[in-house]
Amino acid sequence: MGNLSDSFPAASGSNVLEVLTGTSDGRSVTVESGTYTLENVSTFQNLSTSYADITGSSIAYTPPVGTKHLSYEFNFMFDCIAYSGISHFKLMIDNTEVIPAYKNFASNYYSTYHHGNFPCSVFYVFDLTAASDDAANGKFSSWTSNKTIKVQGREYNSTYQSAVHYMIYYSTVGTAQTVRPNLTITAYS
Amino acid sequence: MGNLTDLFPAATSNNILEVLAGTCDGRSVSVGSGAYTFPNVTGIQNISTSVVNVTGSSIDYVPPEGTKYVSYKFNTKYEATSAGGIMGINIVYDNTVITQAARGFSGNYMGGTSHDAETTISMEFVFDLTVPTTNKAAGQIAPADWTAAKTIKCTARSYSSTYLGRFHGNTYFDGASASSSAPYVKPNLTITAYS
Repeated sequence: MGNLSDSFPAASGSNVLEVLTGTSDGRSVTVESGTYTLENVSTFQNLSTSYADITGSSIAYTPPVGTKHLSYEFNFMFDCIAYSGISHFKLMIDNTEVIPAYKNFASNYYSTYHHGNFPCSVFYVFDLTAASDDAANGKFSSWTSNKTIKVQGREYNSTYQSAVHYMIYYSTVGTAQTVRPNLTITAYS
Repeated sequence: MGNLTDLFPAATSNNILEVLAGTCDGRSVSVGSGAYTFPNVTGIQNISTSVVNVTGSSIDYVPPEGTKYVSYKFNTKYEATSAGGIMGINIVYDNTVITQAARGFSGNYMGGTSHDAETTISMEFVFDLTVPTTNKAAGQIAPADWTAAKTIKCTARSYSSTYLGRFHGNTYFDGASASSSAPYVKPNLTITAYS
């Protein structure tokens, strides 16, 4: 026998349909729309001058029925390896760049020191109420099967080097540690 | 007569009454407390030594009945445009600065010529609506004092005319040198009402 409220839904509820959230350690998370396995980020990632998928950022996701807005939030550590570490990050959905989500990160410039090491995020709210699809602006009229959302990153040039998921100074100076990123998808009605 | 579920609560529930979330592109979003239009940010915003509203950060919001806490979160980018780009930023509720929400940001200083620093800015504060009397500066709002829309926003200014910066900008783009063609960032605003 089910709950009474299975037949008689609550009089009011929030507009949050589901939250898929986790640290990227390979865990599986089950929400209303299905079961998702997050990537397992086991080490830091050096960037290069070509765009590469940022580990931990990728998810193939289908929102639950009734979703009007869908937020994607990817939080990660950024580290400057050389100079100011100027780097570019873009949000992709099914291999189309979401242009308003483009971000550069960098510390300030110094020729020999590169201490910049700080948390960064790529955040965007997709609009599923649009009359027609405009993936480049994160707008969709329909989203009923998996779309892959991910972040790609690269260095500005080979002089300005960087890494992600890396904490260079941990507890004791010079003891580096990998920091797993966090991914959160929220579907709103 | 009330709802049946007033007597027999849902099998599962949480304390989120509503979430108003959007990228600041002028979209309209309807939630339980009403329909809201997000600001439309169409470019970068340079700041100076005068206090200005940060574009995209302002929302006129009234929480739904039964709200005990309101979370305000504004996410965008900030970058130095001269020296370390030192700046101060506040969350302002109904024209009052929330003291504990004040933040400062800057890159490292490397003379007057280098200003590469660019980073995420996330301004967040949780208002407490469980108090009997309002203390705006502390972010404590008696429920009776927040039954109509109140404006929540961020304001910012540069430390001095030597240390300048800007919001929503990207200086470099896909390996190209600093250029006005680099895309700007549309910020994101999220309001969550908790019971």
